[in-house]
Amino acid sequence: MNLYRKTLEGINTAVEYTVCVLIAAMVVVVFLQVVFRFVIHSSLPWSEELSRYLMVWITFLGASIAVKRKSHIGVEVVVSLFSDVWKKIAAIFVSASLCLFFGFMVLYGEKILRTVKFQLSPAMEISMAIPYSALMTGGFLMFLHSFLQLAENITGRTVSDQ
Amino acid sequence: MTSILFGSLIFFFLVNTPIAVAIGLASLAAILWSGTIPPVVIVQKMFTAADSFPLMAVPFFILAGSLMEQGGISRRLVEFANSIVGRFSGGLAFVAIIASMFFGAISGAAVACVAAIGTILIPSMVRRGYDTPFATAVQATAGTLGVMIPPSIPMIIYGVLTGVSIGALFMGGILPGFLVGGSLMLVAWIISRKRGYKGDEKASFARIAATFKDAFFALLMPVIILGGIYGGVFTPTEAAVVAVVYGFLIGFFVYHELSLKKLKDILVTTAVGTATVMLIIATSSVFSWILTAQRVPQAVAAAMLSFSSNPIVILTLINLLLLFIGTFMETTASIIILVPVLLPVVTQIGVDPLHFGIIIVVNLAIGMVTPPLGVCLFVGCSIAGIKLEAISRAAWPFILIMIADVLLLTYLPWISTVLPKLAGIY
Repeated sequence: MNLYRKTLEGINTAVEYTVCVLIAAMVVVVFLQVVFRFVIHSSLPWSEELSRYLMVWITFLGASIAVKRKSHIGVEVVVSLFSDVWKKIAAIFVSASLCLFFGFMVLYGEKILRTVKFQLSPAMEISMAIPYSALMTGGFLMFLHSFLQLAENITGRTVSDQ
Repeated sequence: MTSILFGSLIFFFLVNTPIAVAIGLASLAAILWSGTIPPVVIVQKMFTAADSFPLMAVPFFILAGSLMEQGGISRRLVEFANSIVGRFSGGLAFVAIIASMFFGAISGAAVACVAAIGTILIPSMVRRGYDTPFATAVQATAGTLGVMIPPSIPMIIYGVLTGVSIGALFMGGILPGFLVGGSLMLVAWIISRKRGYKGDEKASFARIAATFKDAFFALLMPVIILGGIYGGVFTPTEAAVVAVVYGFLIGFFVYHELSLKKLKDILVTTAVGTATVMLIIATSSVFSWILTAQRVPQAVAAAMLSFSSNPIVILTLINLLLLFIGTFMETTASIIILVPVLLPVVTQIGVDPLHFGIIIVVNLAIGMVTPPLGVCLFVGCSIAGIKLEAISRAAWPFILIMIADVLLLTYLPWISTVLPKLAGIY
């Protein structure tokens, strides 16, 4: 489990740097779109599409960092009234549900790739599999993080990943 | 199918499942139960929801706000506000509210506003002898101005969802933001007078000028953003990216308070903030698609209108519902789930969609400070180091005046629509 945690930690660091680059790229692309329209008086045909696909990737990769940091908020008010045992049961149930949903995202994220990979994007004419695979990739990373949390919730070990 | 959808949603919420996943799983359960809709629709809809140019304004405004904050802007805004209103009774409470309005004109989120201004002002209020719960309550409620004063992330989401111009919504939020800001100041002033919280000495003109000069580049940002949108120069997303570049340049080269290390943290925090909002948008889009396909909005509209077709009655009921939902639910999810259901009701009784957007945003903003749940209260409490129970009593006077404001906004639509109409964009 320790090795699993360490590996995941390393993957997460890589994902953090990746989203930094993607956000920076998204800023540059949209800013270029503005500059081109006003300064050079011609519009870029690909900027809007590229920035949208960057946004899709940022969303699903960023969501995996958020799973690790437990930043996806829920409604805590009811659980806070539970006894400790029930709190633990609820926590195990929630991390299992996360695994279930993210597992679904991986399976069907892969399934949809089979349909879209032959479609080309309108402006850049790249395979639609490139933006669409963000769902499968993000889903997979989120699954890995929730699986660790599930294991930790079951074994009762506190999360020492901060 | 609808009962599976809502039943499982409520169950997942009760056990504290993250909202995005709770909504996603409830949709999945309903789709599997129906047996006729292929589940691949879920990933398809999730992709389409995230693949949106207008929504890109969300990460950009988060990023611009965080660049300005880390670039030392909050302190400068606080000092400028202090030089203007610091001398009145309860001066620092006024400073908290005015500085939050300034910050709200840069950032589109309430939590960011409480954190940015509160970190400076809650400790200074406490040092000056203000009661800690009072200081925290002022700051937490003032932070909600972050979503009323443009730019505003909830307004962007409402605009994307309904097709109402985001620029017009932004402009529509200005007067309501001033109304709420002004009434919070009124309450703060009354309480401060009673408790004898003294203000500072009157600041000299030279001091006002000096702090203004220091805050100038920060104050210019809203002018660029809003001016650009209303001048028809930028779309809101483009205005947001210009704000990012501007905030970056000011933080690095004018205020010299940004570093590459800080920049990495800012970018990652922006990604996490964006992703939590966007994942909710992604799964809620599936949820609201099922609602629409099941003709739930029509059923709700029929039920409500059979109860009464008086706009005042209907809007009052909707306000109560929004206050309740806003207290327990996250803002983005509330908007995406409620708007498709409620908008058909209100348009049938002649309510303007822009006006309705403002009503929703202000109501949900109140939800952010209503005990036992409001996010702004949590942030305020963690800054002040006090328990939620302590702040709850102190927050009520402010919550009540905000409820009065929302009723005023509901029954006087022109407060929301007059500026966009004058500007000729609505």
